[in-house]
This record gives sequence, C-alpha cells and structure tokens, in this order.
Amino acid sequence: MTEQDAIIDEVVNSEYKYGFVTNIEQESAPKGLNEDIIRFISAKKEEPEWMLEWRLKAYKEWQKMTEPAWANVHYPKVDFQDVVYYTAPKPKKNLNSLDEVDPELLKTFEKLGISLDEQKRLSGVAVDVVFDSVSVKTTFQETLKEKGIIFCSMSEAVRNHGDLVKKYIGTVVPQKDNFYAALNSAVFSDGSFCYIPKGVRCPMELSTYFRINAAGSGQFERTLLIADEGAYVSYLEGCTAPQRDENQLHAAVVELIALDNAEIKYSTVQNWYPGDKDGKGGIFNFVTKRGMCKGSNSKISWTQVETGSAVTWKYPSCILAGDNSIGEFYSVALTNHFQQADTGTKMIHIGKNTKSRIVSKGISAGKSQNSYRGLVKVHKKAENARNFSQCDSLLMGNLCGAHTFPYIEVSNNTSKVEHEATTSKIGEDMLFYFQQRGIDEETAVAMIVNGFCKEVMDHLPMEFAVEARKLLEISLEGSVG
Amino acid sequence: MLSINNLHVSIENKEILKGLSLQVNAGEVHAIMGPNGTGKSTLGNVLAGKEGYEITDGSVLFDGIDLMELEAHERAQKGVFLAFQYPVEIPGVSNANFLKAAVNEQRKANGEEPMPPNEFLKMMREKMELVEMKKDFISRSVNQGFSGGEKKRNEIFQMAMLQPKLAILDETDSGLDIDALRIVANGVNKLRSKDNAFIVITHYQRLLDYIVPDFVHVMYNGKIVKSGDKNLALELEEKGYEEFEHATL
Amino acid sequence: MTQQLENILPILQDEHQKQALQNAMNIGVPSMKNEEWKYTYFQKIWQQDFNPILSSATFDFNDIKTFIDNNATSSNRLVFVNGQFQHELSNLQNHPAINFWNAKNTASTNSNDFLLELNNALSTDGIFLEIGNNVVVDDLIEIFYLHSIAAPFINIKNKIKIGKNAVVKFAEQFINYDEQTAYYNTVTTLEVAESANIEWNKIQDGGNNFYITDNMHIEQATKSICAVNTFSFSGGITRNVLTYDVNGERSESHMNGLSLLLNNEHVDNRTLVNHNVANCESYELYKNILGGTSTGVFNGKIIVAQAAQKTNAFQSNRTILVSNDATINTKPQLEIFADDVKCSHGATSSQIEDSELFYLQARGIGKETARGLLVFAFGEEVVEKINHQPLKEKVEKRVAEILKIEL
Repeated sequence: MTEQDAIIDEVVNSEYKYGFVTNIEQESAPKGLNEDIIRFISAKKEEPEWMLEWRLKAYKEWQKMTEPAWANVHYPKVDFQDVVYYTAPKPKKNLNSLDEVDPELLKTFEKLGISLDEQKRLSGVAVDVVFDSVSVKTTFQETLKEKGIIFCSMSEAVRNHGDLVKKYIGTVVPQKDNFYAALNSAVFSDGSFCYIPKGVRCPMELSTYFRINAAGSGQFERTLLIADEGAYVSYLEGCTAPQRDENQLHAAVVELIALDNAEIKYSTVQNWYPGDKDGKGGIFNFVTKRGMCKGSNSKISWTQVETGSAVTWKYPSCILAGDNSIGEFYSVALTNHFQQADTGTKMIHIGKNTKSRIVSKGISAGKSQNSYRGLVKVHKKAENARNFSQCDSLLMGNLCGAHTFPYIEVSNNTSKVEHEATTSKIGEDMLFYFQQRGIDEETAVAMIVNGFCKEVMDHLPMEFAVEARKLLEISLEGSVG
Repeated sequence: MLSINNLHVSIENKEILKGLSLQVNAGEVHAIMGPNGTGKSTLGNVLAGKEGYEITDGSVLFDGIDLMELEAHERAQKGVFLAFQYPVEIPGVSNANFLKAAVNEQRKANGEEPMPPNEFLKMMREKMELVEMKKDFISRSVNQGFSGGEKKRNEIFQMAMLQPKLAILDETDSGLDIDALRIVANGVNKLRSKDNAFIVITHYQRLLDYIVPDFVHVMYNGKIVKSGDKNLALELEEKGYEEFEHATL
Repeated sequence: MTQQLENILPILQDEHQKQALQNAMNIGVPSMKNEEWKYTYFQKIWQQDFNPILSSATFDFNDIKTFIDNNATSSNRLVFVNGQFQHELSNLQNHPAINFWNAKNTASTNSNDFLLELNNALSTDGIFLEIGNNVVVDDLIEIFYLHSIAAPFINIKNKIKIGKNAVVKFAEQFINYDEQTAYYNTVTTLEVAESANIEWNKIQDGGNNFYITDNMHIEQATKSICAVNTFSFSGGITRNVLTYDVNGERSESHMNGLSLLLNNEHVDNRTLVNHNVANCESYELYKNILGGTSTGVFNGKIIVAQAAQKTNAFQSNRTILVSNDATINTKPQLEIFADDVKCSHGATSSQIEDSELFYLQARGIGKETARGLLVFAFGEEVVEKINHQPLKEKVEKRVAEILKIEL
C-alpha cells in the first residue's frame, strides 16, 4: 500500500454514531406474514374496511411475485416469514402533549439531534417522527392547519382524511408495481401524509425522521405527498437505525403528486446503519420513490445524500405527464467497507416541453460497490423534451467498484437528450496542490469529496446541507482524534 | 534561510539533480535559469516535498531544520511556497474555502487561533486588488475554467495570502501575455521584503526585467554551473546556453 | 424455425454439431425478457420460413463473378456463395507467411449463447487465415457473403490469426443482390499478436428483408492496435455483437459504427471491452441516423478489471432522429474495478441544430439540401475512420445516395 492509499484508507474508515438501542416497552405482531397479520396491523391502526381490502389485494399480488434480481447487488435471501411486520412502543394513552411521550423516546431523539419540542426549535421545521412501525409525534400541526395544510402520520390520515388518501394512494406506485412496493402496500405501518391546498406555499420545511429500533423487525413506511394547484412544499427525510449484527429490512414507498403549477422539493439524508467494517449487519434498503408531475408547469425535485444501509435499491423517479413539467434528481451516494448501492432515477417524458436534469455523484471506498442505474425515456408525443444527465464516479482505493447503467430510450425527434459520465480517482497532483498550501491529506480528501458533491449539496435546504456535509465528513473522518 | 548542499535526486533510478548547491538569505531574490530538462522544476518540486523523488545524497536546511524530513504540508506551514507551473483545477472547492483552510492550517501549526471571518475576507479583498482579480473570484472553484493568465495570477494571490518566507516561482512567466506578466511581477515586487526570499525559476530573461534578481544562477545538467548578478541573465539572453553544453560534456 | 431444428438434429453427422444444436435448443430462442435482447425482437427473424443451408448448392457463376468484379475495391477477395467458400471467385496475395484454407469449423464452444451454439451446429464453411509475423498485406482483404437460393439461413464461422508486427486491413461485405429475404448468422474470431495493426470494416446493406446476427470476438496482445468499423445501411434486423478481450498492455482498441437506416429497419450494436490488463486505451464512437420507423439500439459495455490500472476508456454514442417515428435505445455501461483509470461515456440524441441549418440556408442552400449536408457531415466522422481510399469513397457514395445528396 502506498502512503497515499494508506491515508485514503484511514480517511474512509469511520464509526457509525447512531448505533445505540433504546430500551422501551413495546408490542409487536408475531413473526411472519399472512392475512391475519395484515388484519392485525389494520386493526391496530383502526383502519376503515377499504384500507384493509386494499392491503389484502396487494398481498395477493405480492404472493404471485418474485424478488427482483437485476440490480447489481448481492445479499443473502431475505426470509420474509422471519420478519416482524409490526412493532410499536406501548402507548400509554392518546398523545396530546409532548409530556405524554415516553421520556425514553424523547431521550432517543435528543441523542439523534431531533428535538420534538416545538419551543426548542429555532428554525421553522415541522417534524413527523416515526419509530419502528408508528408515528410518535408530529410537531407544528396547529400552525400548519391555519394554512389548510395537512401534515400528519399516515395512520392518522387514513382515519381522518380517508377521501384524500383513497383518491391518491397507489396512483403513482401501484400495488403491484414491484415486489417490494407490493409488500409495502400489504403491510405498511406508518409514514407521513401531507396535503398542501391550492395556491399555498408551505411556510416551513416539513420533515420526517425515521428510526428503526426493535430487533428482527422491518420498517415499511409509506409516505404520500400532494401539492395541489399552485402549491409549494419542501420536504426532508432522515433515517437511522441501531447497530445490529443481523440485517434488517426497510421497504418504503413514497408517492408525490404535483398538480398544475405545483412544486415539490423532496430531500433525503439516508443514514441507516450500514453494517460494520467486515460487512456484518446493516439495513437492506429497498425503496420505491416516485413523483408524478400530473399538472402542467409542475415540478418535482429529488435530492438525496445516501451514506447508510448495507444494500440500497432505490430509484426516486419522475413521471413528467403535464406539459412543461420539470423533473430533477440530485444524488450523492457514498459507499464504504462492504456496502452496496444500486441507485439512480427514472425520468419519463410524456408531456410536451418537459425537462429533466440528473446529477449523480458516486463515491466508492473500501470494498464497496456503487452503481448508478437510470432511465431517460422520451415518449413519442413528448415534443421538445429535454434531458441532461451527468453521472460522475470517484474511486478511493482499488478494491471497490463503480458502475453505471444508464438506459436512454428516445422516440421523439424534436427532443434532445444528453448524457455524460466520468470515472476517476483523486489525482496525486491535486493532493499535492493542497499540501503545498499547508493543508494535510486528510483535510484535502474531505475538501475534494465535498467539492465533487457540491452541485448536489447546493440543492439541499440549509439545515440539511450542514447535516449532510457533516455526515459525509463523518463517513470520511479518519481514525485521527 | 535556505541552504542546499550537494543535492542528488533521482526519479525511477534516473538521476536528475547531480550535486546542486545553493545558499539563499532573507531579503534576496535568486533567479535560476537554464534550458528545458535540466532539473529546474525538479528542484522546486523537491523543495516543496512532492512524492516520487528519491534524495540519494546531500542536504537541505531551511532555517536550520532538515527540510527533507518534513511532510509537504508541514513545509508549507513553515513558510515554503511553490507557485506551480501548471496549477490544478479543483472542482467544487471555492477559492475562499480553499484559502481559509490553508491560512487556518498554517495558523494552527503556529499555535494561533483561526483568523476571524471578517478579517479573512478583508485580507482577501486587499490581496485580490494586488493581482487585479475580479470580484466573483472568491466564490469560483479553484482554477476551474481559469485562463492561463488567471491561474498564474491566482498563484501569486495565494502567495500574498499565505505570506511565505521562501517563495519558489516555477516558470510563472510561461504562457503569459505582457499585461499578465506585469500584474504578476508587480504582485511579487510588492511582497518583497527584508524578511523573505524568492527563487524565480525561468526559461527567459523577460521576467527578470520586471523582477530584478540579486543573483542569477545557470542550471545545467542537474547542477548550478555559473552564478552572477543580473547581468548574467542578459548575457545568457544574447549567447544562449551553448557555452555550458561544451563545458559539461 | 424451431421445428426445422428438430428435423435437422437426427441428420447431423458430426457429434460436435449434434451437441451444439442440442445446446442451442436447451438454451432456447432469445426473448425480450432477456436483458441482452431487451430491445430486439428476435422472433421477427425466427418466425419466418428460412431454409437452413447444410450443403452446397448450384449458382450462376458468371453472374456472381460479374457482380464481384463490379463491386470489389481490392484484388484480395474471399468469396462465399450459399455458405460455401468459392476458390474460383477468390484471390489472395501470395506470400510464404500467409496461410489460408477453408473448412467447416466444428470445434464446440459450449457457450450459453443461442446464436453461437446455432452457428457451431450449422456452419457450413469458414475461413482459416494465418498472417505470419511482420507481414504487411498490401491491399485490403475483402470478404464477400452472397447467396443464390431463396430465403436461405446461412451460418459461417471464421478464424483468423494475425502474427506479430503484421499490418492487415479487412472489409466484410454482406450482399443481397436480388433483394430477397435472407438470414446470416456469422461468427468470427480474431487473434491479434504483439504490435500488430488491424483494421476490420463491416458493410451491411442487404435491404429491408435482410437479417444479420454477427458475432465477432477479438483478442489483443501487447502493443497491438485493432479497429473495427461497422456500417449498417439497411437490414430488417442487424445485430452486431463485438467483444474485445484486451490481454496485452499498451494496446489500443477502436470501435466505430455508423447506422444509417431510413425505413422500417432495426440495428442493434453491442460492444463489450474487457480491459484485463493495465495501460491500455479503448475508443468508441457509434453514430446513428434513424428515419422512417427504424429503431436503433446501442449497448456499449466497458469492464475495467482490478488489474487494469491506468486504463483510458472513452465511449461516445450520438444519434440523430430524422423522423418522429424512429426510436433510439441506448445503454452505455461502465463497470470499473480499478481506481486509477480515466473512463467516460457520453450519449446524445437530438435533431440537426436549427442554428446550423439556418447558417446554410443563409448562404443560399435550400432547406432539404442543407439538412442532407449536415446529416452527411454527422456521419462522415465515422466514414473517415476507413483507411482504404477506394473503400472509403464507396461508402461515402452510398451514404450520399441514401441521403439523396450530391457530393
């Protein structure tokens, strides 16, 4: 190993800082999956009959399906009968104020840097917090209500805003869209629901914080976000999990719907437990995220910083159905040790004058495998569609891999599609330049990586950008100090 | 300040520097001239601590300490500055961030607190004027999309920010038009003081019209073969290096 | 055609061939569910009634001789008619270090590829060519594939070895001079020894009812240079699978392609470069001009193994859609396992820039002519890769003819 390799090796070694377990009394469904479990979940959540029927239909579809094998990831087969599909902290009673939240839970979220106390939050960010299978607390609900904005847990939405849920759920990601989406549709536990009424600009960032705590359980949250005509919302999502030797399953579905002139900005900082340095444990993150630009002049923008999970299978996508609609995807995926990520996006151009932009930055270190997989599809009627894609990979060390699988399908001759991809390493000349200015190699590597990701980071909301930059640095922080 | 004695350096077993000696005192400007491939740039890189060079003999003392024992960034922190012949582009890292890190690392090494942001910004503005940089320069990525002249000016700007004891200018004049040359030279002249020293590596006499050296050395085949005052440069311009070709063969 | 294979199985004499056919049948006909066939509907060929050619058939010698004399651009020519090599129609420069013979190559490959196994089973003839060390072949070696019988299914398998420092240029021409339907399934392996320099051109232009599935496998040794230029100007389905195994350091691999299809046609170019060793370079430039209801597929895969440090690999795929019923499906794919590499790929799809069109119009050139000239210029970048003047001119002429412009 050359000295430079040794430093990169040092730099990319890091400790996961969110690996603790909360001791809390909980109730769970028995292991395994069958119709009774689905009825159990539905009953726990006091759901209306239609929701149960919808779940059961998804379950029937799921039983006919097989796990997809096309992604560039390898992992032991998941035994779907060995997973607990519902786990929740035992409720004391209905939560009306923060004082009634279990103090252990409050402590957990303090430790994660998420304050549930509205008074303590300086900036206006409303948070919905999901702990294993249930939403624990949603802040600022009252403030939002004044504007007619609905922001609550999915369970609450099914009970209180059934019409909206019924109208939109499964319209972007149908029950039988794919294996994991079907599984989620059958057993989804909680997640966030958000509706921004016509012409309303949401006055604060909305955010959901997901935490897996219980052993042996999977998390299957479902998020549904609707921006009505002329509405605007910026939504953030963060996730962590304890350090466990076993692999845990996370199979979420996120659906976004933007009507005429609406805009949704969806940002994710994904930091599920990635497993240890020998590849033991970690979250299997199999997620279906899709946005529908249904109305004309609508816009959906995905930004993600992916540093966690043992295996990631995730393609936040945009269906650009409305004329003049815009889809964006900005992604940083950092893999280290034995992590595997197969991530990217799909931009489906259907409407006229639709535009999409893809910027993907992959960083592979250790023995990890990092793949970009994307599809740009221009339908025959998508006159004047435009796409620009840029996929760059940075390799650190020679035991990792970087892969790109971009699919480009164009059936309209007035469209213009451009795709560029590069793969490189941090040049010795570049490192020497930093050093000659008195900056040591470790700091130099961190600065270069941050620079490499800058275009993506610039699209994160302020609070998140700071957190994401820190996260990248933690993942890059050496054993120094 | 700098004392190089009988320095021998090889790359991949090929000897490039073959017993080079040079003394530089505070307040002096030394010009090193010579044809291509005589090891001028190697000298700059070796002093700055670039990897891949093997020191087979000789010594380099900087303020009495063995320079070769230090890592590249430690040398920089002690005040050795190299203005690169080909400055690299660093995408996504702004000039402001880059220099803030550089200035503060140096201060940290000297046991000083980081420079307060407003003071830093003020200093940047001041020094930018020195090399006639445009305002948007602060937020642009280091050297990315810079013209050849802008890159060289940026090197001088960084030098002004870091205030080194010893600055080595590696062919800073190459590829510059007359305006850029004037700006660069002007920057250097303003930074000259009795406490610092410069080594100006150049191929042509042109730069020395603007930066007047105290000493001129001719480098040929890995060592200094002749030293003199500024008139030596003019002499070289006239006669070329032919004389040394015969002398060393 | 599956039924036909079943009928042939008991007739086959050679055990290797029998086994290969059995393999093919076990593998099964490629379906679009297979990632490798995602965009190409092989059944369109398979459901037609082609006659697998197993033995020689008669043909009008003079007719074909005249055709070749009129179309050849070199004195070195190797001619196949109805899947059989024709000595009387062929000619190859005499040289003590050039070994040439033809034979049915029955060596089995035990691949899991349906078409390779089918070729193993049914190939009737093929070229064995060995160019010795330091031989510089003066003129282009042209290989012609022709047929005289109706709706033939022809399998040919060639094996070519190039010695150290040798310099050779080839042109492979698929001819369908009666414009009737035909299906060729061809396989060529090419071994390129140290410091050899090879150029291989393929001209595929058999009309709407002509079908080709071609498979070429190249192995390159140290410091060798090998370029393959593929020109597809017509064809119901044309599928070219081109694989490079780069096994020697400091070698260069070049792949260029121009597909110019203006009718209801389909081309599928698949390249795979295995960079197995360090310090090599590969360059790929594939361009498509697609009109009518034609579809183009480009799948370019570059795999850089862990040992292949300092690899430079560049790939570019550019498409102009000249009609709104044409489609391009592109998948440039990089798989990198070495860190010290420079790899890039780019893909674009667009139409001729309005500004360029306007510039020509402003100089008094009619819109249609201007468009033709710009499209021609777009394709010319690939045509220029041909390093044999008569062949280059012939290809240029054909491109101009298809685009209806005057040179």
